[in-house]
Amino acid sequence: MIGKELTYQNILLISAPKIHTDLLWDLTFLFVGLAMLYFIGIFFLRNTISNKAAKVRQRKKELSPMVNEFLFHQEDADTKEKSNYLNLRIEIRELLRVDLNRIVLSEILLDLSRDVSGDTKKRLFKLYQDLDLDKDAFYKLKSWRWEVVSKGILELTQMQVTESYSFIIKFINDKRSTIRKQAEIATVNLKHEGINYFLDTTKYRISEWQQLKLLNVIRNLEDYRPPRFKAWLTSKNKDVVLFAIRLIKFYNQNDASSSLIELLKHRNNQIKQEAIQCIKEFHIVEALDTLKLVFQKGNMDVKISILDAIAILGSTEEMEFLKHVEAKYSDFAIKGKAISVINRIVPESIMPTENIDNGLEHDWNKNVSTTVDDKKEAAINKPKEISGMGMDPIESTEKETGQVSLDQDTEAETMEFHLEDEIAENMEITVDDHRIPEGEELSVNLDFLPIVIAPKTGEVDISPKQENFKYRYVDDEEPGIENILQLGVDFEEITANGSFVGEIELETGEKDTWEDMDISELNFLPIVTSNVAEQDKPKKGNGSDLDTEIRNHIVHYEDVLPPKKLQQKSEEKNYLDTSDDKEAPLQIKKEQNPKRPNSISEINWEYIRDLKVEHDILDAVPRENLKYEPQHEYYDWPLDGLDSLNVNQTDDHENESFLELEDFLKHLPKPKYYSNEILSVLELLDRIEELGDQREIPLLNDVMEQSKMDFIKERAKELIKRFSRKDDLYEVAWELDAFQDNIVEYNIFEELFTTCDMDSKIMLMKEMLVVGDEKEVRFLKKLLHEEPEQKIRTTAKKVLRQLEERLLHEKRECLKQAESEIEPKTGTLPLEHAFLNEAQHKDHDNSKSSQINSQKNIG
Amino acid sequence: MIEGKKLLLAEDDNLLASLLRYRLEKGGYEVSLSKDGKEVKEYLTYEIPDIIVSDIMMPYFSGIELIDFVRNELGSKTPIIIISSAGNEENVLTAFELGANDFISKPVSPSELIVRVKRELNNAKI
Repeated sequence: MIGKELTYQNILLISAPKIHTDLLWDLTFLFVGLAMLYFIGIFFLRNTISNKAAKVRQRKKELSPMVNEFLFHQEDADTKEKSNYLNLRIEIRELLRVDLNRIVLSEILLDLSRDVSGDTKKRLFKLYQDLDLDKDAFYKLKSWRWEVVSKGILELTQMQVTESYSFIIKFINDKRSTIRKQAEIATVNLKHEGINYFLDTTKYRISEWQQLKLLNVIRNLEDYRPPRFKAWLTSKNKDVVLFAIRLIKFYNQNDASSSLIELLKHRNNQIKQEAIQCIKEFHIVEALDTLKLVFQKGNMDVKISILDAIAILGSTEEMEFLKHVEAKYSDFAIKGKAISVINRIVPESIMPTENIDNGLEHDWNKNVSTTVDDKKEAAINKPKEISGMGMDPIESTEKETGQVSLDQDTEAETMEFHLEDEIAENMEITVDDHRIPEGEELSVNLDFLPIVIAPKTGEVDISPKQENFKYRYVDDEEPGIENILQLGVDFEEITANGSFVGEIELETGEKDTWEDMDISELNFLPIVTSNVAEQDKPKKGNGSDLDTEIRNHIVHYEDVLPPKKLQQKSEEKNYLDTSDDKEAPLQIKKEQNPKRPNSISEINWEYIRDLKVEHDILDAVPRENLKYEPQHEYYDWPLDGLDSLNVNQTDDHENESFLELEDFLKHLPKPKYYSNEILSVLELLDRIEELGDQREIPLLNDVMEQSKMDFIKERAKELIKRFSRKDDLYEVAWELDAFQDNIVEYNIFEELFTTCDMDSKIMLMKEMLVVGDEKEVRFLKKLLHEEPEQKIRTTAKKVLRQLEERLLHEKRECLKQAESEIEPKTGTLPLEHAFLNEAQHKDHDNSKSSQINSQKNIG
Repeated sequence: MIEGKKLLLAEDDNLLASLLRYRLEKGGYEVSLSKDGKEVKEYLTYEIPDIIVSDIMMPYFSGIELIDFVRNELGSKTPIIIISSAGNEENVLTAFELGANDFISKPVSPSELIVRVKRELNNAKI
């Protein structure tokens, strides 16, 4: 240390305080202990939170399938599914006793309500209330913690619990802003009239953001009819007025003009501005006077808004006011706005004056005239100046045109030479800083330009063949430049070549007569003539060539037309109109038999429908004599006896096969024709067979007695026999019913009742009300007598009454429906079968009486 | 016939995925569920379903990438229905450009999804 310089100095007066070492150790232990405690606490808290989250996640996994089951359960499900559903309900009731499950279930439903829409969402809302989860949310409303209350309101709003409306509206004027804002949204969301209540009662400020949120809620309401918001323009709360104006603007309620005009006088500038916007949008011209009146008092924004409104609504009448504003106000924004409005109403009434160089205008007038002569003069004068600056004039061959910018020192000064409008556009040469060195030639290819020929060719040497032009500054002494305007322009080289020009001339040249036209040019056109036209056409002397050409191009339609023979045949036979279709009509020989119909319309299809084919004759034909053998399955001819017929279908023997077929047709049974009376009786028997029962037996007996035809008698007899047998069946059915009545019915509710607690029993009884029938009625009656619990008995009594009412109502509905279904059907029956109506009425009466009886039984 | 048609549902939201799966299975489809892009890719390399219903926003592998993968890498014309949240129009347009067949926005109506799936399967059949 010796020999080294000290970097510090001992301060003798300051020394470490004397602290007992034990105390230090104690303190050390204390702080370490505290740190440990802190870390343990954090660790424990973190673990608790993560454990809880994991539990919730796990519980969500378990409960979400249950929720799905509830959401997509259908009323018309089968018994097994219904049973599962009821079990699930009981299970979930049990689960809901645990708080965590309730929280998880609420979370699941809230999450899903954000992700699903449509019918599923509605079911979700219903399920939320069915599981009494809304009660938890109601409970949250009573909390002293603002976040809990807010959460409760949010839940109730999100799950559309409209019953909570009256509880939530109390929070509209809550001191705590979060709760208040949540309540505002809920009020507007839950009921359509919520916005009215909110605007009527709110005392606090409504922030812009809140207004936007509320507007968004209103926009998304279904079937929402907005009230007339002008009612709130008189509110004492300025935010309500502001919001009302915005809503008026949003919903285009333009019936509040007077109120809006009056609001221009409002002390609040924001309201004024909003009213101005509204007036501008609705184009309320009546507001112009008031706008001018309030102009003075408004701040700058209001003033600019008013000027904007005047620009849209105003006319020349406002010019005085605007000029006054322009003159009076020194403020740049207002003055500028006023000028722009003036110019908008009367365009270009005020011209720009700022930074306009008047001297330049003077120089321009002096030196450069706008007339062509002056330009020429300027063009001549300019080189003088340049030459005066020591620049050598460059020999110029440019005579065409151009914007030639000549540079003077560092300041670029542009001079425009507009020689001829049509030429001027062709070229623009700017020679700003690019001075052309002495003796150097500027080579530009100007082949595309028209060649301008001066009258004095000796003075200006421009050859059409010359490819490179020399550009130079023009000297005033140079001859020929004075006559620049007298230059002649030859457009010879505009065209590509001479031959093309020639073609144009040829094409534009008119051809006097069409006879001169070469017909070969029209080869691409089809020439269409009819045979008759061709024959009758007079021959022209001059157009002989054309005629020859036409003859060569005639299109004969003969092949396309239907053959005349066929046409004639079709006319003779009076067939269906075949003029449109090209297919030859079928050749059918007209039968002379008066009994048979001559046309399709004459065919009585009822006869054909009821035709009976008798196979007696066919059976008589010996099978070995028949040569026909069905080659395909679709020869489903009802004549089984003809199976062995062998028809030769080869093309060579067509005629022979037809002859064979004719022989075969001779063996076909002849049709039997019945009278209308017999047919109607047959039809009646058909219907009785289809619809009738034992009540038709007397009628069938009558038919049997009156009919002379054996087969009718036999049929009636068969039917009587059949219906008589049915009586026995009815007896059997009756016995079966009686037997079934004696069997103890299986009731899922009864089974569940044995295992569940009181809450579940009550819940099950509520379910009975929804899905129950007579079985449940009996069960409930049984409960009334046997159940020891008073609460269950009371509920059972209520449910029983409601269930009976429901069942009765359903039966009535059924009856009505049955009546409405039967009546129109009977009305459509033909008169001759009116007795069927009576039968149906009888049947209906029977069913009605039976249903009434059953109702009585239920009662 | 939709009975037994294989449907791949790619959705990262467990609750929604479970709900849609249940509804689709009730509708007669054989549903395979993938919760992220990796699972989807693995599934697709192993088997190609009759139809794919996918969320656009997924971890590892977005719905857009999925369409690209199916159309360009696998070269499959399997109908793809995209589920996207509202205000995601740009992604939807990209999805359509890449070859998505249909689009359904969140919140999803399960009944609507069923109808769209059925329609796409019918279109694919034609």
